[in-house]
Amino acid sequence: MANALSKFRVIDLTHMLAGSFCTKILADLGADVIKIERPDTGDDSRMIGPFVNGESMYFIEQNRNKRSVVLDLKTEDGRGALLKLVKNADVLVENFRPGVMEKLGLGYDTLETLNPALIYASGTGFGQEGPMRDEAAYDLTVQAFSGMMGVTGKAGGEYSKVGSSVVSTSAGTLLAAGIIAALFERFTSGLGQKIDVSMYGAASAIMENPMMRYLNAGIEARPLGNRHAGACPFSSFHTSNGDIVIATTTDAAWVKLCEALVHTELTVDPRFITTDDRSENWTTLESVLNEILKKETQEEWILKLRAHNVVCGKINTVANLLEDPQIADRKMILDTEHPIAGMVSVTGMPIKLSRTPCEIRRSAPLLGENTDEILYDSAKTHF
Amino acid sequence: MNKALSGVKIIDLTRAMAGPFCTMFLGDMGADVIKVESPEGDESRESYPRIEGISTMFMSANRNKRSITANLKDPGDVALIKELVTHADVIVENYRPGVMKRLGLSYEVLSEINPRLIYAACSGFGQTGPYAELPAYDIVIQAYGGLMSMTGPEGQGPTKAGFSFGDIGAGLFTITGILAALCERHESGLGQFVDVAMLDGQIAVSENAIARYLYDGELPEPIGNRHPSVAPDDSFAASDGTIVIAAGNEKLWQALCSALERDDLAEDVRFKTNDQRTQHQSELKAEMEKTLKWKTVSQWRAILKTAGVPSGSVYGYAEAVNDPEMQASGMIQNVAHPISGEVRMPGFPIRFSRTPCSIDRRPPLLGEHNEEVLQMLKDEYGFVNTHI
Repeated sequence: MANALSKFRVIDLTHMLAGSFCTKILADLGADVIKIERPDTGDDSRMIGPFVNGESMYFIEQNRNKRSVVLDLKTEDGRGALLKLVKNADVLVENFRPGVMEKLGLGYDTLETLNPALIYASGTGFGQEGPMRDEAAYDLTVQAFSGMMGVTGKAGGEYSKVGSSVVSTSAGTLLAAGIIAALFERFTSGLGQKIDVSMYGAASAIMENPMMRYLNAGIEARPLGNRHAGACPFSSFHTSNGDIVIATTTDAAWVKLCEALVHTELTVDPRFITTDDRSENWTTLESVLNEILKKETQEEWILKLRAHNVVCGKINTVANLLEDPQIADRKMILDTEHPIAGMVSVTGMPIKLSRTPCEIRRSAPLLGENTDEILYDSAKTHF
Repeated sequence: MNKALSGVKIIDLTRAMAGPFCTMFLGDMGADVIKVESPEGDESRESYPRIEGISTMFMSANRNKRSITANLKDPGDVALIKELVTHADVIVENYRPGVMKRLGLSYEVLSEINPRLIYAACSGFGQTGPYAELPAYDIVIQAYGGLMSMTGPEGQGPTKAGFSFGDIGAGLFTITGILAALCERHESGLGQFVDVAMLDGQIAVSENAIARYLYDGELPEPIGNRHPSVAPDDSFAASDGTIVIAAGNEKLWQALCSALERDDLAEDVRFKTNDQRTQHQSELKAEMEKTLKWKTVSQWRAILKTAGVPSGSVYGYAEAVNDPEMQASGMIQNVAHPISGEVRMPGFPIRFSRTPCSIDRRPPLLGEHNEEVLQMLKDEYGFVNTHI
């Protein structure tokens, strides 16, 4: 069965997470992604653990469905080989700092002349313009600078980062979206273009609600722990064997919650009548609820709360995810056979297409695994 | 100027955040998005704060759309939706699985009417599986997908990301899925069903968390600001506050040691490789802080910038938005609204050189385009319906 992007070839100069996540999406959707790596060490993420038989699971996770070609872009030969590949590619993706591609003689102007239909996609920390364009960036530094850490953490405590690199993965997804939109537009115009996505811009865009509130209502988002800025109770609570979250957004939902807890006296408690009352008396309410909830288990409470249509859920650890029937049904953890690491588990695809589904066609490549096949193929076909 | 999605018609049945965020981006890229609201309107119109009665949450995810009202329990309005779908490229909805079928608007029905239709459904747990029909808010998904279990200060229990990443992540994948299906349709002439779950989105961005548990036996949990598998990549104490520093490869590590004038660290056997530095990250942090405490955050920022080592001030939200970089980034756009006045909202994270995004329509009032859309249906397709 054809995949959605089977027709397209992508030259992938990215390394680490944001860029590799972008090209992973394109590859999962069926594009032929050729990852260009430098000699000897390859992508830096090959050095990040955990390791299985010496192979980085960090790399294996982000680079399935891609082929690897080793080229030294600091040499004439390396650049020449890259230009041959670009001539017949649909997309080039890079995440060097602004100016690096130009210095290598591989800037957009040069590549566009060679291949006017090329879509040239750049992922950077702070974009191609602006006062910080030359700053190097990692997910953490952008989480810190964009205010994402500033809205995350315990109430009244220190700022905390989000525990996975969501700025990198969001920027990578936006870059992939931009590339596919440009491919779609190219059907009409016949022309490529340049796409610029920064991690900083991505972080700002995905925090759209805090931005709107601050700029227009002067309300600064701050860490609230697991609480909601408006609704109450809407937070995490302790049961006898772990934490759960309970989310009520209306007074009616609050009443249902009290019924599920078999504590209907709370509905007439003057401290807890309206959302404002409950927010004002939050510390008391939190301990009242925890006192009740800690008498039974997560599983028991979830059944009871759901029976009363109260929105709730477990706080899963990664260990729980591996045993979860919903995750299993959705095929969100998949096995893939790697030539050295053996059979290993990676995450599945979050985009489920009915007619052209994503699939894992190959595990992540060894460094330079496909150099000969691709360069020979490229030489034979086009020169 | 043409935009990337000019000419693409989208019928948008989404409410709240994940769905509207998705269709707003498609609108930014030039798609004609017709948002169908219940007569009471999208529930996010009710949320606070409001500017002159208009919700900021609604405005943050609904520009570049037209709004019409329809009662999907009324057969006349359902007929109207079917007429719109007949001439559309994409329909997006974020009801709980099963609701569209009950309304007589299932994929089977709509794809029969329009085989080229791309039908995108963005739900909490997905269209399949034992929990498909469970309700989901952002916090439920952040909790269920494991992100909370690995976020927060060390030893202080699970913490959620301080913004709606459960919603937003799913919105991003829905955008991408719709675009891929549009591209594919150019060849096949056929639409398809795009199923995106907020939960799946959380698993997809879990980085190496599952691998850490399976292959290192380490259960991911809140560890503050440090990266679980990269070091140094953490927050550190400088003389007047906190600085984050991330040196994720050997070259940056060497550059960092030089910038700190700590060649001893580069030579230290505990810190030779990223893996060794990760294993000894608390000792590494203590060593670095011995030096970092002698200068201010801004002094170190300047030194590290020159050295090419990624670093950052840790900003509160107001500081972040007021930074000159934010002001210069184009990520704040001004929009005139007839009731709220001048409103500021986020710009476009995807910059296209030839087909740039722009805000061509401010967030619509409820049902603002009822007559316009009916007139369009009448003029272009001869469809007459008085129900709207």
